Amino acid sequence: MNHFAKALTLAAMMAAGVTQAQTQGVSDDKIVLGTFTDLSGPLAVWGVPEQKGMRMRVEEINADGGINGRMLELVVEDTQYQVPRAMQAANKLLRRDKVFAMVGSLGTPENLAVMPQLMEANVPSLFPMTAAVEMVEPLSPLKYAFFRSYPEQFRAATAYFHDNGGFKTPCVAQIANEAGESMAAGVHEQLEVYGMKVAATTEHSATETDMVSSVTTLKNAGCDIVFLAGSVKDTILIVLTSRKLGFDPIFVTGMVPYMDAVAGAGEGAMDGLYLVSPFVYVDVASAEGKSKEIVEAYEAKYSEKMAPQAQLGYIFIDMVKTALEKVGPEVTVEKFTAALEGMTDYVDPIGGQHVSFGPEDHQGVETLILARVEGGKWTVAARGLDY
Amino acid sequence: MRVLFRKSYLQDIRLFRDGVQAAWYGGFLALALSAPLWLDGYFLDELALVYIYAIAGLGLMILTGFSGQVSFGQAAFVAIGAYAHTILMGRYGLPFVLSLPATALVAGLAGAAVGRVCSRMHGLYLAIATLSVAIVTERLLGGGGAFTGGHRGLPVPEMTILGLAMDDSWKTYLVNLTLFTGAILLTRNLLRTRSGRALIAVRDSEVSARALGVNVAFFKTWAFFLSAAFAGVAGAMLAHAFYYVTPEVFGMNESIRLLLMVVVGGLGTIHGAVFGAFFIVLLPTVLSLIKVWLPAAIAQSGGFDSLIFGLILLVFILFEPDGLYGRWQKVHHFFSVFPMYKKRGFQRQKTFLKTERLR
Repeated sequence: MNHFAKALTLAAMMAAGVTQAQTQGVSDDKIVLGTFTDLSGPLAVWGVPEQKGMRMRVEEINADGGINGRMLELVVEDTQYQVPRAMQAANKLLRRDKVFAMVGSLGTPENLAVMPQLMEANVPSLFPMTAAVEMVEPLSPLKYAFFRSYPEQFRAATAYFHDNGGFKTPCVAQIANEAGESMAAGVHEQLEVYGMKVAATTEHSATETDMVSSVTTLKNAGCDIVFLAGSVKDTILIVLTSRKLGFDPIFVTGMVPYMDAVAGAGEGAMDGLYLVSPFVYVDVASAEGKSKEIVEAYEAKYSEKMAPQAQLGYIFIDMVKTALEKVGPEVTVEKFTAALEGMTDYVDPIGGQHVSFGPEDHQGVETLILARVEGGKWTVAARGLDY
Repeated sequence: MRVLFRKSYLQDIRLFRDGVQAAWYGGFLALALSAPLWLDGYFLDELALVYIYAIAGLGLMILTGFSGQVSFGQAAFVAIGAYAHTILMGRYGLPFVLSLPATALVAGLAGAAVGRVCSRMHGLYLAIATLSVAIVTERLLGGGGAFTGGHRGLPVPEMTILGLAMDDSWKTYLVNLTLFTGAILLTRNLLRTRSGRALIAVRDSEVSARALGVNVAFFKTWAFFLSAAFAGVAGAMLAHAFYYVTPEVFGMNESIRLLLMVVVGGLGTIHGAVFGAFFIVLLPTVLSLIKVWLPAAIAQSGGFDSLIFGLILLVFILFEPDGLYGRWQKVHHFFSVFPMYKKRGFQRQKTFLKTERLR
């Protein structure tokens, strides 16, 4: 009896030990990944293709037999770009689906709200679909970002045009939200390095449809370069309005408007618009090799063009896969983050951007690119931008 | 069906109609209190969110359901509550137990200010005025610089009540349940006082109310004060649930969601606010849980949630304007008087002549 009791306690202790060693979201035959994104709200143009790109890579990996014998499972939740919904989504992903990691979740306020929960549950936040600084700062073993942050994008943009041609009266047209604020901050910081100041700043709300007053202010200030610290629709409106009013400075923006809808707006009116981006948007026509295969496979699968966000989604899952392969059969959060920190030579399969992490560096993409609209299409004008 | 004899006027203002009703609600309370014992953290958090929304819903119910003033700006007061609480606790170091009532007061005063200005407005004009309050509040919070943290927002300090850290789901759940129960009792109590009756009189006919000696402007403002105070408390608790407040959280969408909540739940009843909160908070959860069984082509397409949400709303507005609670009452009545149920039983008997001139 005594022996039996001892054996029982031992068995119980072993069982407890096993369950403790078991990492959330990792079982013998699968690894569960979670993402919350916007599938039906104002940023569905970002969320829907992103989700499709992620799914496509997951399906490819599973068709190849998974990672070390484990299949990947991706659970997607819709937030409609609302923080309360994001909280609910994260709650479900963390506690019901028990995800191993959160990958490519969309939206700055949503990610900021969910982050403490992730940290508490010891679940890594991987490559959120936002370039906010807080996605890496303060440094945490669980936080990894793909993008260079908004301020860095605008600092690099300022530096590039300062060194290539120069400017006298730099101006900023800023959207009234947190993204706009941090983008504009980048311009201010870099100008300070050159001992310059922003000559004029205008602010507009996301819902504004008439940009005449903003553009008139910029025109009267005699701006020769305008940094568009904004989103998609307002960028189009400001450029189109400026063309109409005969105002023709250099327009530079960040990664957010990097999509076909912007390049193609106004039948060629967007030609000459520059943007600085941490990733490269690859078109079928200009793609080569592996990258062309991926873009074509996507088009065959979903019968639509592979949007830049879909390309990012694909890359995010591919990076997770690369790190998981390094980890080997025994998957834990510590081993996984160590593998990510050791990832120094990843080249994204679509745009060819170099990605490297380190123990002190949790921000992936190394240098930025400069894209330009030509003939209603985005083309890469320069690579390797930095400040 | 039980028929109660009225033996005294006190009977009309009792909290519960009879012992059976008291036992039912006691049972519900016991069930809610024991939830941490048999529900896991995920469901507790969801339920806590239901309670918070129900508090905001009760506030809106006082305003729209009882005093008849439609508000498209309720999220503004939720936002003021969330920010006031975060700033009071985070910047001025006020303890939770002091910060929460102070927050209710701040939000309530903001509400009263809006209410006083709007007290002569009705219908569409009031809707537009409150809508603008929602928009202006969002812009003000965004442009508030360091004080409100701008568009970037503020991190919310951890909830500690009298030295106890509320760091587990079941703890925050119980806090929210307590506030929710308190809010229901307050509302219930309001309805059996002079001010509650005055609010309903104002709703049904302002002219008649004034003729009976009700100070219409005062009670309309009072309704705004109470409603905003409830919203403020809900905002404070939401801030704790979100860990982070940004102006975008409390935009127009949220105002409309709150209004839908009371309409779907059933306008003019306490139950309606609670039913509506369950509907608004749990529908997305239920949808994402049943998505697992749906074919991928439907489940993974964007806008699925919005479609179902919209469809349900449409069905309610077309077929059951009395909301979830109205439907429940009818079903309940059907069985209790079976087979004597008649549709007419729920038609309003008294209608007041309403013209623009005589409001």
